[in-house]
Amino acid sequence: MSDRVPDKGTLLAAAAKRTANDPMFMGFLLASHRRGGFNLADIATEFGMNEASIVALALCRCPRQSPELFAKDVYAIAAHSGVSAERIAAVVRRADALAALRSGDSAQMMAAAQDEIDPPPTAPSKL
Amino acid sequence: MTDRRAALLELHRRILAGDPSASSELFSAIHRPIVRVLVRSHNHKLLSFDDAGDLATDALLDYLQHPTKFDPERSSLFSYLCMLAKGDTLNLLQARRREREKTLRLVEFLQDERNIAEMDTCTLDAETIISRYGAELFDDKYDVQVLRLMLAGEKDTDTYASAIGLGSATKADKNTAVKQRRDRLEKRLRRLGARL
Repeated sequence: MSDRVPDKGTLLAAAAKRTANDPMFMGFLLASHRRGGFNLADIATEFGMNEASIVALALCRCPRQSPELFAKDVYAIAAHSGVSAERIAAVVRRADALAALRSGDSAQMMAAAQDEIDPPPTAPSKL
Repeated sequence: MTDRRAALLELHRRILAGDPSASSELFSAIHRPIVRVLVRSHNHKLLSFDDAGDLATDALLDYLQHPTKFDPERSSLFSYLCMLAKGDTLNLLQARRREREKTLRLVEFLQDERNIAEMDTCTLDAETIISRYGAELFDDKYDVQVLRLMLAGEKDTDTYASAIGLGSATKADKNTAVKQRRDRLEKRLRRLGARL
């Protein structure tokens, strides 16, 4: 029985979809980016990546918001998933902007709209 | 300390430190092994692969919400996560068993006309049956109404007839139509009860 356990990729893809409902995870921001939907194939196509990279990205926790940690976290997520730091930062900032828009917080919206991040002192080689 | 235990302990340390990619690495390292433990421990008729996958995910999400609850001095992270997942599995299977028992009791009640009047406390179970098995029990919307009346202990043929749109029919037609529907529904419920 246990030999017929679905392969790791299938199991992780299902787990990644669950993160679409949990604001702690990048999966939640990806779903927000896709206006609530979480279709691995669609996201992979949009990002020009394979689905495994999107699964790895979705299962990462969201970057911390403080300026000194945000860039570090984004680069760590990028190094792990293979998705570019710029793309990840854009997804995070867009989700933040949408959340601020919904809550009517214009100051937060302006901050969130700045989707550029400073490069790290030594950029990881994968970027 | 085994290599895996040391690797997981290092991931735990990174999670506590706020490393955002550590959660993804943890899923990759340990999700499927937890699923394997769960499916080995339970009959596959009771616990599907999807169930096991969801339970493993639940355990990991629970841990990631409250990583400080894990005490590395007391167990390995793998054992801790398996314990969480097994606990949730038992809860899930117990909840399902209770639902099945409720449904069986309901069907047994239905098999005995004398008990139908005593079934007013089973309304919730009736709704469960309607939502879960409606597709195989009912031919049309009137069947749903008839079953609800049966489960409410209704005896009056005119009430049944009104519910199925035959309020102005002759008494003989009402009796025939209501009996046909009730007999058919009871037969299907008995068949369902035997299968559960």
